[in-house]
Amino acid sequence: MKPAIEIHSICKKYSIRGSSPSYNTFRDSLSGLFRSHRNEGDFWALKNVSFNVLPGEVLGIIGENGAGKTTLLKILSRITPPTKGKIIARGKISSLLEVGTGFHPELTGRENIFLNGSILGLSRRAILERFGQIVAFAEIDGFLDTSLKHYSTGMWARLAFSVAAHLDAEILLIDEILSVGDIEFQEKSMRKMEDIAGQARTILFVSHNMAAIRQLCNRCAWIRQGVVTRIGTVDAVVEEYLANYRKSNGGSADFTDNTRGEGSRKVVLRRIETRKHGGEVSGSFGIGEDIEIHLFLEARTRVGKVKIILDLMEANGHRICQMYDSDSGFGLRDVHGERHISVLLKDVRFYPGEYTIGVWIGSEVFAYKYELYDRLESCISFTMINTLAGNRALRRHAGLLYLTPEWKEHDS
Amino acid sequence: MPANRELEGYEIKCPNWWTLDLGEVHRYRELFLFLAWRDIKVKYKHTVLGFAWAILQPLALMIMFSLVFRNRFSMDTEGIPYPVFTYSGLMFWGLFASGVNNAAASMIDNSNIIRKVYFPRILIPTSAMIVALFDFCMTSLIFLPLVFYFGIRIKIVSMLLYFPPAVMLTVTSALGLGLLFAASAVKYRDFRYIIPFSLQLLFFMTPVIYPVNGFESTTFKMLLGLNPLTGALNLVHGSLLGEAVDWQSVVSGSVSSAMTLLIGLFYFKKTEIYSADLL
Repeated sequence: MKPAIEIHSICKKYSIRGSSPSYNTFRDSLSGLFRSHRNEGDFWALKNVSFNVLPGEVLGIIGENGAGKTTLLKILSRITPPTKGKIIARGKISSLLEVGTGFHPELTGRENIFLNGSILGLSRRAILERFGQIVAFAEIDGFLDTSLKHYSTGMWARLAFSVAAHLDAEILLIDEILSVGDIEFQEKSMRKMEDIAGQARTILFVSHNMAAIRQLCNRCAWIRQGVVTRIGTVDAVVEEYLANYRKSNGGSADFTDNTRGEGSRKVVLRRIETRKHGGEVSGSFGIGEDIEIHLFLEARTRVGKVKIILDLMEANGHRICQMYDSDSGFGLRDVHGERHISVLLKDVRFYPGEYTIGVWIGSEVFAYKYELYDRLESCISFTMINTLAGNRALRRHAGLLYLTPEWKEHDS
Repeated sequence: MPANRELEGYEIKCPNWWTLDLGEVHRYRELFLFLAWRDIKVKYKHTVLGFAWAILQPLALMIMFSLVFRNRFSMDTEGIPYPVFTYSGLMFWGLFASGVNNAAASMIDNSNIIRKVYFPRILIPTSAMIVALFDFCMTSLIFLPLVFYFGIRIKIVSMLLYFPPAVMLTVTSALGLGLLFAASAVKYRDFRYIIPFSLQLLFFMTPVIYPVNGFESTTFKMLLGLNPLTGALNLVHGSLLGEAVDWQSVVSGSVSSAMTLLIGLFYFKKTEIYSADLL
């Protein structure tokens, strides 16, 4: 079977000029005539990337922000040309670098389905055939002839995802589009994605969401600074990736010069620490100990309300729980400058092993609408150790929680 | 799209800028129509007057120019009533100017699509021309009543014969200049200021509000002759008069508009592959 995509030593160079890489003025060019070229340096976004993707394969692509994942998708979809190398593709390629590309707020839902579908490469006939399915999936029945500007963000996102989910291309390039809409719709779109992945289509799927990568993909590539460092089974690559970025340097991780975060960065996480109850910074805790998670935030502009969510995950990326600040009645208000927050987890009883914490910082969720300020998945890890002297061996595969409930015998 | 071409396998690499894949443009014809339809729809949606806006602009300008110029200067418009003369000129100027403007702004206006999806980029400025053509059709709706009001006995045959090439000339040169500006605007944002300014200059170099023969200077006449719009307007005025057209200006206009289109096309092709990186 011939590969659906053959990537042969693809390189992509961006020239970085001055402080603004993409904004030329005429004056720069004119002055460039008299001076030597003032390239501050060439930036190689991709260096000699080669791999094949077989038909029907769902390949996950992971890596830090700026590692070159999106650049690769842009080259594959011909949005930008490679500097060197070539790609042989077998099958029609559609790219979904975002959902709702070309949506126009003045046009109605119906009109936008046709416009967006056409932009994404569907023929008019194909859109007509799928029209009913698209509308049903998006759950916007009564609003078909309403201008998009009157849509709620949730409706907008549902419609956008729905058109994207009904593309007919043999090869799909997908960049982090699952995070649209409310939680319920996200689950629905995840199921739809699994559906699409099962249709013997070739999919390249870029995501920061390791759970989604595990769920959808049957192979995974890790791109690091423009190079494919690892390609192989999902479990192996994801685990190696997470291990590499876990900063288990004694219970403290610094992100002051961070390149990993996403979002608008109005509020950023500068540092995270795990401390023992007494205040001592530590990376390992005994079963039943308290863990204090200390967050050092910085708001770069004044922000009214900040919502913080902590993810607790196993080392392999499986999520254990999601802790919303609001669930505990906490809320950060009127944030400007630096803030220091601590989150106390009492009596933590995980089995021995490695666990990681992820941080999500965003605006208040209102009508499904929120702004992501910063997000760091698995930004710090801690180790649970078996400190219970004389206890039996607690093996990770045997369980997750070490509980010591009250046992009693009653009269029979 | 023909599936076999796609399944056989095709190459993606740094493309040659001098090849214009017309087959590909043809495969994307539906998107072209959708983009043009969107532009027209969005332009007139939620306006009270709707399509009347297209007519109002040249009409108001015509009235103003008529009031200002008719009595001040003796304009020899060779028997065409001055309002009709100016209105016909403004119609074609409007087609040209909004064509250039729309095409020039189109790449930046559509940058969100260009950065996220691939399609032949030439669809963007060319579909933007369609809005200008649509407006032109609207303005021509009141051109005929105007002609009858001023009692001009036009020959329908000569109109049918002369109007289409005049439109062709105008659209070709507008597209050429529009492509040149669109590609330049992607690279240099200075063009936001250069375009309105140069269009204004060009307006006065075009016999819209004055007749060509109103000038003694042969150099100025020569310059006017290079302007493709001069040829187009000579065709239009000729059809109104039912008289011989100054074919020399039509020929030189055709040559210069074809040149403009070629230059615009090649410059656009040369820069389009990098447009997603620059926008």
